[in-house]
Amino acid sequence: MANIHHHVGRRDFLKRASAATALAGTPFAANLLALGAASAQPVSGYKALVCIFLNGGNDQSNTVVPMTGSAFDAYARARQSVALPASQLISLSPQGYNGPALGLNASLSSLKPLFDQGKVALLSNVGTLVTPITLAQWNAGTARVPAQLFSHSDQQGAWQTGIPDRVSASGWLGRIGDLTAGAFNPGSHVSIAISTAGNNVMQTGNSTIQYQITTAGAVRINAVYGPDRWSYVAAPLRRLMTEPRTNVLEAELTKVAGRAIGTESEVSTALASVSPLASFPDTSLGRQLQIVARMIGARNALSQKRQIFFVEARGYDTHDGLIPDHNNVLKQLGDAMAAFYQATVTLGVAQDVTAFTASDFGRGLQGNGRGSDHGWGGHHFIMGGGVLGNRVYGSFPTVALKGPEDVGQGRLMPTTSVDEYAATLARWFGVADTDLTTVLPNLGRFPTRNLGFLG
Amino acid sequence: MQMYADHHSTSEKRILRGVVIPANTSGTESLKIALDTLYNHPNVGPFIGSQLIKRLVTSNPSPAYIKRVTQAFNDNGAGVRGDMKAVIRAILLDPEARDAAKITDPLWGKLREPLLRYANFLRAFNASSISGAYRIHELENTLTSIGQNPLRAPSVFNWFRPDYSPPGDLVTRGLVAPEFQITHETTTTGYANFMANAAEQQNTWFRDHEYAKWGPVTEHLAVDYSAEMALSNDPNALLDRLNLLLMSGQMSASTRKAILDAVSATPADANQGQLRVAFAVYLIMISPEFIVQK
Repeated sequence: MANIHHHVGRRDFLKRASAATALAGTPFAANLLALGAASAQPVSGYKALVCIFLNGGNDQSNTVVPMTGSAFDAYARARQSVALPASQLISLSPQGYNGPALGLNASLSSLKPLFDQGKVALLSNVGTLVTPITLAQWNAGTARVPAQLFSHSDQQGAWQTGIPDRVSASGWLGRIGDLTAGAFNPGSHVSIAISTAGNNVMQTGNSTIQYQITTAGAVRINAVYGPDRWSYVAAPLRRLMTEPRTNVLEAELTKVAGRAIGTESEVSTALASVSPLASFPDTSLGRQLQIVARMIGARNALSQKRQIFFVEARGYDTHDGLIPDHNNVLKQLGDAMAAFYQATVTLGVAQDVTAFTASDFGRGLQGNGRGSDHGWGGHHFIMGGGVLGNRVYGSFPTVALKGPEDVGQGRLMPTTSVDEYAATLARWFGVADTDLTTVLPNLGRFPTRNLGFLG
Repeated sequence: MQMYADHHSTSEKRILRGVVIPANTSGTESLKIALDTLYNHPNVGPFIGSQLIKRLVTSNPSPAYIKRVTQAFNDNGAGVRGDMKAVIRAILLDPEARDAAKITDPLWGKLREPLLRYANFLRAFNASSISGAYRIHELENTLTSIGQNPLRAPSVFNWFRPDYSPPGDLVTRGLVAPEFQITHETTTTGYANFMANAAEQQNTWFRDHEYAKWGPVTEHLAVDYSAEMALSNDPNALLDRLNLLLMSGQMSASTRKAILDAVSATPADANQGQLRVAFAVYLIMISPEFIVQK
């Protein structure tokens, strides 16, 4: 019989962020609002952070590859049938980098000019860490490491909460929002944290509650406005959806509906004032970054001098079909990111918008015949006019089995922590130095709070 | 599933609880030992029990309730472990589940996930198609539909985590509300707009020409309002019936008043009474009292 399901667009609309490690009794549900007031540093300028979450665990080994000599040979030997041929790599010439020559997967060709122009930087071998560790500690079983390494849901949670050794109901973007929304967005009716990809723990703060927007903008609950015959329904509908309830689940539902109805008109009006932007790829990620760009364009109408966005790309769990599938999602990533950068130029905010990638984990270097399996450390891109790009940050790992960072099957022991990555972004965004440990409570365990990619 | 011996490692394996699968054990036998070990782990009863209670009865069951269900899992009364009939009986007939006072307990209940709400609607009004084949379309679209489709979850982790709690009051109280992970501005709007169409068009709007690509009209589901339309001149009788069909008779006076006002204001003869029924059904379907099952 005919296929019952209509496939087109399935993934496009499934924006459920995963990994909300939201358990009760978060240990630091302290009153961050008060701290937020203390950290207020009124600044006239605008800034935005855009997290591009690569759901499934990006295969870093086929994203950036040592492309010459014995380094390439070691890569090819470890990967076997899932190694990229050197002909599918684009040579990078990062400043101040002395390691083996690096090639960018040609599927990311749209990012190459931006890398060369210094608008894109690479952060290598970053991942979840409780504290810095050595391979000797790992091998001896004495290393303190995040719970449930190599597990999608748990490691998404660890990346997004920024607290891999404890249960946390909030994420680091949410806590950045707690500290900045009051100071920078007074009077705004829309949350500083805006998601196109469903509820995620990364943007969940102690006071910050994320606002969900669709790729078509804010959508109206039609019957609330009572067109035609719906006029009989409009008032009771609004009342039922939003009036206070004693049951706590019903009360939560009315709060969500109240936000949906209350912000729709304001957001729609603000978006209507934004001039059309250059075209974006017609992909899920392209559409998500397009509405992000439009919300940036609407920042003044929304009374927002700070915005924190979360978008999500799917298809990164490449156990199978690695070469074609990964190349496909990387092409979508590079094309959408490049279009987004151009849109920020058009909007005159290229210096003020920093986009960055994150993922569940990296993947093992060792091929499984058709793909690669769950790993740990991985490489990530940071893009924006304020980025000191054309550079490689962190320590580029040895791409070989049984190398100095290999904890087995070519899984990388991270040499830079998510904490350091997040702190660098938080500081640029306007979080006071003294408040960085409120955002990232384990930060003091690591060597730096500024990796330098934002100056 | 099939066993491929040449893909099976014959070396010794150490698994949970000190169980050792000896070297040279066949793949089939190894799998049986592993599954039996998992099945007999003492955590399985409370894990399965609490998950099923959350899906069927309430998001935050008491430890005593979970314990009673665990006991039924561990022993059905005749010494059998894992008798699921006994487990489900224990869940649904537990004193906590049967206590009428829980209806007004502010911490009781569970959010019906969107697919269950839609299924409640289809079942309440005897949805059927001409051919007997039931075609559904892109229900997972969060923008234009309910954001969930059977067998179409975005990942192996399904639609939401069992421990999700939305920020704010619920997390502060230490309560979980898993279905809230897929409840936000977008899905709330998508559901409200979808149900407006479904209620008014009796789920038949898919028959419009623009949906022809989705297969023959004979496979499209339609709900039957004939019994309700017969009551359209008597809004109180109509609401009594809908309260029974959709809300287990739990509709509060305040919700009833809001719906009654809308139904009474709607001309009784509009579409031979169909519009009154459609509006009453719609307002129930979006009311928090319906969406939260108690």
